[in-house]
Amino acid sequence: MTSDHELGDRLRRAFESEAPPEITVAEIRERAAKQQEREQHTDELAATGTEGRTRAVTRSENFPAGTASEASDKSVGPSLMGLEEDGRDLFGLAAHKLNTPLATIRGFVSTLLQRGDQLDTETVQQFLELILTQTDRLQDLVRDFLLLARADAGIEARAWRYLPRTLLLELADNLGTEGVRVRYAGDVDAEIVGDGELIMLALRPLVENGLTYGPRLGMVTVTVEAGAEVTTWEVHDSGYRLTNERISQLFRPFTRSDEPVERRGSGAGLGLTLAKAYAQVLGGQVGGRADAQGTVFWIKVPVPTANSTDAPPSLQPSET
Amino acid sequence: MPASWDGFEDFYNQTMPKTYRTVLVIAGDRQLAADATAEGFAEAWNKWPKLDEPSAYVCKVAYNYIKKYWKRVKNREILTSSPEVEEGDLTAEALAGQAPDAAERDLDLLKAVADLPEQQRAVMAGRYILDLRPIDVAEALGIKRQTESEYHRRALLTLRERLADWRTNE
Repeated sequence: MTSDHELGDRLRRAFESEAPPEITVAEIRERAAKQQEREQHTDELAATGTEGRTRAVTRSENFPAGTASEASDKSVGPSLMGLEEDGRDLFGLAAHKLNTPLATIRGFVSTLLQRGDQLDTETVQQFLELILTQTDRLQDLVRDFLLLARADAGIEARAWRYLPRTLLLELADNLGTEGVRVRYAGDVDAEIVGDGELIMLALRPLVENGLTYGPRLGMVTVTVEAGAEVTTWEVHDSGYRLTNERISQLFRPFTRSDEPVERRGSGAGLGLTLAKAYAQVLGGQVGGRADAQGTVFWIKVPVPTANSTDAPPSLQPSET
Repeated sequence: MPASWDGFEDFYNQTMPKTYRTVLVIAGDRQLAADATAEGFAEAWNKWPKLDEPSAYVCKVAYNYIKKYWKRVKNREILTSSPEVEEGDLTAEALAGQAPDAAERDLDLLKAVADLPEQQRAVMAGRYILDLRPIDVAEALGIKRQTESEYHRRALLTLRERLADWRTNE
């Protein structure tokens, strides 16, 4: 008969050679800061009484009825940021988003000033890297705010002929090394009429989300369907991470996925809001769904009736 | 942020490998186990130095994190009408698979452990890998002391029976 302790020893031995993950204390600190941020955010949402407020679509008159099912967002209003309609103190949330990285930077700089001489070189290096990461984050936030403000102030959508393949190649190029994980399907060589630049701006956060939250090193597929009246762009990744209910919430500003893999993302929760804003400028809609193959976000844009050829050179169809 | 994190780094360096192994026994997935372990230590960092029994606290946070993850996966499977995932179902392959020394692992034991219900597995891991006291295991799992003791008794019984059966059949 095996004794309790012998069994315990066997269990211990069976896992003794299991190498622990390489997670540094600095990474734990960073994760702790994110946890605090999440908690503050939750408190703020609770304080402002925001849950569940939605309103009807008001800008989809020129969009064919019945095409936006699944989890399409319904919180569209005259103001793309939805400041009044959403009911949340978005300025407060924006200030908080800016404050969090600032507080982290201040904390690390303060520690370096007070105790820098007691810290070893490696720790100092880690602190500096964290400061740089947070500074990048601030910069990204400000960029997103500017893009949203620009979309909110009213951009005029133009129309020209372009090839989806050209647009997608440029998008992949803009994503740097991560661009190699983007593949294309569908009518990528069909000539499309519309504002390719705005489509690219709307697609970018969807693709970035797929790369960030999908499986590690997994592919993101962009599928184009060029219909006579509507062009549909679908961004698909094979990550099983979201429910349809959660997807519908993610289009609200400053809302982020709370999945385990979120540690890989450091955005403010504005990506899908930006995608929605640009889709609306184009008179289209955005939405998402979870299916058996993974997670899909889509943009449906009506084909403009009046054509023009004032295309930026980069997106004009090639002659070949 | 806490006023002082004195001792956290030592605590982390000393207990992280054991904690990770404990969490791995419960999760059966290295990525999830690493994620849950990091979550546990990050929470401990935010509560440092107020914790009486930090190891148990880290384990508790990690365990809740895993359960939350399983629940989400299960909900997702239901939404897509795919076969349901039973929370905590594991295989020996999940516990030993892809380990560099998989061939040398105590596969009989891993098989028997993988067949245990999730909470019994957690009790065994808490007691024997993380070396927690039974009362701290109960606290970490959010169960009564008596329940912990019962899970432990049943786990030992099952393991003994399974291991004896396999030995007899060899």
